[in-house]
Amino acid sequence: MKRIRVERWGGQLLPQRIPRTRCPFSTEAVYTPYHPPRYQAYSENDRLRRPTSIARRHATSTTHPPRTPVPSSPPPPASNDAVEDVDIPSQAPETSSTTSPAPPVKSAKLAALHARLSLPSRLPLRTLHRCLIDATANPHPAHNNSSLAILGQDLLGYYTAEYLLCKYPRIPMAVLFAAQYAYIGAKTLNSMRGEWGVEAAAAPGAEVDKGLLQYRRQKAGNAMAEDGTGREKDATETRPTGTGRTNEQWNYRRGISSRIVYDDQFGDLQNGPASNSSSSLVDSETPASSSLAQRQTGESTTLEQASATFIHALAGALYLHCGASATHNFHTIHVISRHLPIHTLFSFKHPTRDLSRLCAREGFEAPVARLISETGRASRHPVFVVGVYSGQEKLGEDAGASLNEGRIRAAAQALRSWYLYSPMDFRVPSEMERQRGKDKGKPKAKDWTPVMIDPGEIIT
Amino acid sequence: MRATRAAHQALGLAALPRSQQYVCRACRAQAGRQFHTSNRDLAEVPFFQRLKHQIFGSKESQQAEKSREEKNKQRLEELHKSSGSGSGLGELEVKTGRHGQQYEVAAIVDPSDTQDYVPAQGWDGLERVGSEEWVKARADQGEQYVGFVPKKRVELSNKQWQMLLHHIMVEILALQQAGRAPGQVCYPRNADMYTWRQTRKAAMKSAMNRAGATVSFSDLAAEQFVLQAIPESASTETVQDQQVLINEVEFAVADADEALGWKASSDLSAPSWMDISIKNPSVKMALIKRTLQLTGKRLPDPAVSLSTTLADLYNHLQLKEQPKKLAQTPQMQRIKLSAPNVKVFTNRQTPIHKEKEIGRWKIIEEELVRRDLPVTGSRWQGAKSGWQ
Repeated sequence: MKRIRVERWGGQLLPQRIPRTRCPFSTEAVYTPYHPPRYQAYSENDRLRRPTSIARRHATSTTHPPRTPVPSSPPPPASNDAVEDVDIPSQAPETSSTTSPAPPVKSAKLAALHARLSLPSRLPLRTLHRCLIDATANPHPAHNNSSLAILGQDLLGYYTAEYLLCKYPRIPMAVLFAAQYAYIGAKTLNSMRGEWGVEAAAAPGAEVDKGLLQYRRQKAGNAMAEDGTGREKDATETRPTGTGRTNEQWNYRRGISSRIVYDDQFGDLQNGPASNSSSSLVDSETPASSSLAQRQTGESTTLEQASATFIHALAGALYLHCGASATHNFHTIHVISRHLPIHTLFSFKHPTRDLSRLCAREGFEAPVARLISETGRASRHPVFVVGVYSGQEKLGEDAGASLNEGRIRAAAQALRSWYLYSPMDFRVPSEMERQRGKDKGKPKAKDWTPVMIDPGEIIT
Repeated sequence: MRATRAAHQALGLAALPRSQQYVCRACRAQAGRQFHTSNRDLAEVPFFQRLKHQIFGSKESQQAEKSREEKNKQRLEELHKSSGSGSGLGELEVKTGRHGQQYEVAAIVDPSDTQDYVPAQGWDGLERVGSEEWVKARADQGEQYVGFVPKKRVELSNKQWQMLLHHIMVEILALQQAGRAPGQVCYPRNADMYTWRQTRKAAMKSAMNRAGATVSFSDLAAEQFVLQAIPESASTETVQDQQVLINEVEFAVADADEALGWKASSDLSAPSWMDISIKNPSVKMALIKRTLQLTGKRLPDPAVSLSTTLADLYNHLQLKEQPKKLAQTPQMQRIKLSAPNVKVFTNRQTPIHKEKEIGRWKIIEEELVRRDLPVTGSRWQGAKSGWQ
C-alpha cells in the first residue's frame, strides 16, 4: 500500500505560489493565479453565504475560485466533493493580473509570540496569523484556521496516542481516552493557550491586533434566552446530531467498543452537521440559539474550542511549512512535557474480581490477600496494610481503614501496576518516518522492532 | 597630644572618602564629637566674657589700638618732616609687590593739617568705584580687547551657507594658488575692499593631482583684486572691525534665492562643486577659522576631523529637518526593524485605541448609537466649562 503523502494534500491549504513563467510558444491559455481577497470583517451578508461544510473531517476543498475566466486553464488539483459547498463571498474585490505579494503582517504581539514559542523561521507570520482566526470570525476557508486545524488535530492525536500506547502497552481503553483528553483535550489546550500568552479579541474584525485569537463568542449560558422567559442554559438542549451512529435518536448506552468505532479520539460524540434522516425526528421546539446548535452551524464558539482549534492549526501549519520532525518536536515540547498522574485516571468497580480473572488468564496462581502489618485495630482509625500475593510474589499492596478496604485497595493497586507497565526504552512508529525523512539514501540507523501488544484489559 | 591624634584619625576616617573600609560605630561617634566649628581657644573663654570683650574691648585690643595710634603719630611726624623739606603730595612712593606688580603707596593725610576739607553733600563729581564697567576696565588694564568670535551668531539658510562657503573657499584657494598661507584670510581687512563680486563669479574645480583644487576667476584683474584685499600680515595694533565682518557676510550671501543654478542646490544634498578635498590642514584650519570669525558657528571636533571634503563640512553646517514627532526620528525607525515586538506610535494612545485593538470599539459604538448617546465626549452643555 502506498504511503499517504499528507504533505502533498496539505499543500492545498497554503496560499498559492506564483506559477512558473509561461513559455512564449505554448498555445495554452494564460493561467491567472488566484489572489485571496483581503480580510474583511465578518458581516451579516457573509453569514448567509458561508459554506456549510466547515466541520467535515475529510479532505478540504482548494482555495481556487470557480471564476477563472478561461476554460482551458489547467484544472485546480483535487477538489473533491466540497467544491459545491464552498461559496466564496462575492464581496471579494477583483484582483489584478499582476502577481504582487500581499502586504506583510505587522504586529508586535504576533512577532513576540513567534519568538516566544521559538517557532522555526520557515513558518511565516502570515500563517501564524491565519492560525489565530477561527472559522466563526471569518468564514472564508483560505483565511481561517479550520483546514489547518483538521490536519493538526489528527497529527497531535496520532502522536499522543502512539506515545501512550507505546509507553503503556497494557493501558485500558477508558484510561487511554482519558489520558488523551488530559494531554490534548480542549481544556488542556485552553490552558496551554493561556500559558503561551495568547489573548482573545473581544470581537473579530480587520482592525483587531493580528496577534490576538479571533472568534465569535457564544452567548453565555447564564444570559437570558431570546424569548426572555428563562436562561440560555435551561433552554431545551438539542440532541447532538451527525454523530455517525445509526441509533443516535435513541438513548442507547455507549460502550467502549462503540466509542472506538463511532466516536472521536477522546471517546466523545462527534459534532457533525444535521443529517437528513435524523432531522425529522428531532424535537421541533429546539431553539436556534442553543449553544450546541450555534457551534454546529459555525456561528459562534467557546474560548476553549477556539483555543483548541488554534493549537491544532499551529501544529498543522508547522507540519506543512517545516515538516514532520518539527511537528513532533513541537508535540514533545508542549504536550508530552506536561505532567499527568496517569494512575489517578483509573477507576475500578470490582478490582478483586478483575485481578483474579487476570491471574487466571495469565496463568498465575490465584491471588491471595495477606495482612502485612496493621496498627490501631481497636482504635478509631486503624490502618491495615494488605498485600495481594500470587504464590510467593506480591502483586500489590495498599493500606486501608478496614481489612476489606485494604484488600480491595491492594487489588486495585495490583491492577494499576499491571496496566501501567512501561518498557524501559520504547520507540514510537513515527520515528521511522522521521528517520527516513532525515537521511535519504543512507541506510536506516535502527531497524524497527515491534512494540509489545497486550491481549487486552480485563472486561467483566 | 594623644587626644588630638585620635581626633585627627577619626576625622580623617569620617571625612575622607576611603573605599570599602569599615569604621565602627564608636569611632564614628568619636569623630562626630571631635568635629569643631569654632576656634578651640575661644572655647576656653567663657561666653559672657567673650561678649564683654567684643563690646567693651579687651586688654589685647586696647594695646593693639595704642600701638596703631603710636605708629600713626610717628608717620605723621615723618610726614611733617618731609613736608618741611618740600615734597608735597604730588609724588607718591612706588613699591613693587610680591608678584612684581607696582603700586603706589597711599598718601597719609593729617586731618589736623587740612583746613580746606569740606565733606561732600552729594555724590556729584566723586570718583565712582566698583561698577561692572569699572571691573571690566581694570581687568583688561586699559587694553582695548575685541574678541575673535562675533558677539551675535549669524543664522543662515542652507542656500546662504552654500554661497558663504563658496566665497570663503574661493579666497582660500586663491591664496593657496598664489603661494600664500591660507590663514591670511582671517586678517583684518579694509572696509572698501569687499571681494564678493569677484568670488561669486569664480569657479572651483577639484583636481586629482597633488596640487589639489584649483580656482579660476573670470579675469586676472579679479584675482589680483582678491589677493590685494587680503592683507599679508596682521599687526597687533590693527583691530578687527565687526561691521566689516557683518557686511562681508551680508554681501556674500545676498540674493541667495536667485543664486545661479549651478552653484546652489535646493535639496539637502551638497552641490557637486563642493567635492573639494580639504585634507590639507592649513586649508581646513583657515576654512573653519574664517567661518567662525564671520558667523560665530562652531562645529564639534569629530565633525571637523572626520570631514575630508567641503561637502562633509556643509552637511554638518546645514539645517536638517527636525522630525516633528519622536516616532519619526531615525532611532525610533530603527527600532521597528531591530525589534519587531515593539510598537512605535506617532499619536497618543487613547482608551479608544485600546478598545479598537481588541475589536470591542465597534460594538461599543453601535450600542451607544443605538441608545442615542454621545460616542465621544458629552452632550451636556456644561461639560467642558471645567470644574472648580
